[in-house]
Amino acid sequence: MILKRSGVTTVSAGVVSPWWIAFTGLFLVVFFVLPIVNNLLNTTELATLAKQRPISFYYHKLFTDPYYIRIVFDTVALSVGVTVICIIIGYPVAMFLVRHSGKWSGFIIFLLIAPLLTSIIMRTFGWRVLFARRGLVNDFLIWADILDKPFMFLNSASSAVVGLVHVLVPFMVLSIASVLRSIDLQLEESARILGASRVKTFLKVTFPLSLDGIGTGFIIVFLLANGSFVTLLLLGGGDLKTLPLLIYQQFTISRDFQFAAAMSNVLLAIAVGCLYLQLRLIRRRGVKGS
Amino acid sequence: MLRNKRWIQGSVIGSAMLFSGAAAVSAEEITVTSFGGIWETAITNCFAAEYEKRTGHKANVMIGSPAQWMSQIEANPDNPPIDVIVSTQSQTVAAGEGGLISRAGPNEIPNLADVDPLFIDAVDGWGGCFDFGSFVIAYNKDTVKNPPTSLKEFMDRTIAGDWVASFPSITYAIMPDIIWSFAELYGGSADNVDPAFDIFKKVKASGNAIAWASVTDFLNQMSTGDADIGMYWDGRAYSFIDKGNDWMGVITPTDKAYMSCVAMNKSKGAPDAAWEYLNIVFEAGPQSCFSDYLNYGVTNQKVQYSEKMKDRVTWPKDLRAPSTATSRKIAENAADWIERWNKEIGL
Repeated sequence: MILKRSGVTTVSAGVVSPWWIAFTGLFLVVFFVLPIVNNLLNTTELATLAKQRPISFYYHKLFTDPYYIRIVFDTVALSVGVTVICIIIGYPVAMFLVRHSGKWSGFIIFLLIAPLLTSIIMRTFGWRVLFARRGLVNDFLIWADILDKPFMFLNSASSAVVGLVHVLVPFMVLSIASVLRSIDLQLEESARILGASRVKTFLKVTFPLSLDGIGTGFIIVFLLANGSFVTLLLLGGGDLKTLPLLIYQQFTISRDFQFAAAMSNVLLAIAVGCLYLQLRLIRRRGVKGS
Repeated sequence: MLRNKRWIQGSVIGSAMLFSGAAAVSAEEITVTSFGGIWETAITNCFAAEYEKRTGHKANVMIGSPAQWMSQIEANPDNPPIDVIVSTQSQTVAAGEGGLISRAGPNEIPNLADVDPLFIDAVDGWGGCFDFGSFVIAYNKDTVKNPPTSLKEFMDRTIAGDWVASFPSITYAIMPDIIWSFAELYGGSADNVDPAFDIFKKVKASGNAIAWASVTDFLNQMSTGDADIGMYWDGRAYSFIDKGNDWMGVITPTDKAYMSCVAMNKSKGAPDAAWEYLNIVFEAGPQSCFSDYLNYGVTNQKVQYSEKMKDRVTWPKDLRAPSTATSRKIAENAADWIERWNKEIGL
């Protein structure tokens, strides 16, 4: 922290007031910790005629019923799959944005961010129009004689994945681009001068240095995909069931809040587990400054 | 620094005052509920506007779903954020027995005296239903040249591949009731819904069925050609046709479509001003207005239907409606049926 007073500049280490720490801690306890604890122990009695069961019944069901084990697996698999696809698509875009776009970089960033200004529901509906039986994609494929009758692109896991990737890839691009921008180009030049090929330079120098960006992008995209249900509802057509969808059902139809609470906690545990893995596995391999 | 601190303090205090002022609602105002789309327009123009004209007080219309509203009332039952809640039969019975809504009769809502007793009994004395609709077959006249006349024919020809049919998704509020209605159609009951699951398994396995997640979703599917035919509300289908979409046709099946009636009730902790609103809802004039908007039947026996509506309303005697006991069984078993649907059908 730098203070300028009466023409005298003093530099002092940043010290946070204990009151701010106490306030922040209290805020987190009240609005984060306590709701999670309440969720873990949820024993709400509901205005419903359905059978009321203890929350332990639902945890037992989630971890022993093959159907729900499959749901948990599908939830993680979908999130990981979407994230990996976003990395595969996002990395080259980020690389182009940082290294080759030149004066067009601002425009490309605008193209990346502009869709985020539109509601996710509208963007998902856009895919419904494109993938419809009489939509643009089917019309083109029939015109090109690739298909002889419309294909049911919608109401499948693949259309849901396309919708999710479309929504989430900008987050991956921006995360990777911000780290790529900070990589010292002289390191790559040095590698080339010392005889490394472009591919080897990328694999040995650029890619390891960009792992932090991939890690950050992984976490953002994974967590967003993990909690997504609107895209699955509109594009998945019931073909792919995940925990967020089932939680949504409990709130809109069944009103079985204990079951919703149990599933929410499992979802939270998945998210925390992945955060932990990311912190442990992806470490920054920086080069000490000269 | 001191000036900054005072500025920050002033901003915080000012913001708190601003937000507290914005959040404060006049004691005469009430918050009423509505489903989305054309429903909201009808509720606003026929009931809320009438309430405001007669009382000078505002009726704020909130859209959403009954399960959501019940949760909101449950979170703060002594001072509920919602004063009048719209709900289906089974949800009304559940809300009543759960202590969320007030019992109502002609003492509280005088216009209930003119309502067909069928629609009072339907919700077991928890007020009454104010409108009713049937779950009919809506189809695209251009792609379905020979439409079905009954539900069983509709299901059989969907399995055979005559068209792509759209059904409500299990996330749609009324699906447990639909499961019951199909169970009864195929020889079962609320105690035995296996016949419903059996027929829907065949439909799903045929590959000719898709699901709609919301009432507007079905219209989008029909417009884009994803579906040729489907199960849908008669009133909403007619409203869609009236907007110039005369390529859509409506069939009331001969083997009794499912009838749903929608109730409106006062939240238990809501002010007495809500009774005034409910009395308007059950009055013939506003109900006639609502019927013209939604193309649904209404429950006040003194309502004079327009010429357009006389041909469109299907009367309860020709429909499959759950009794109170059945509604209670549906509410008791809904969660289990939904789980079974997720596991066996998946639509």
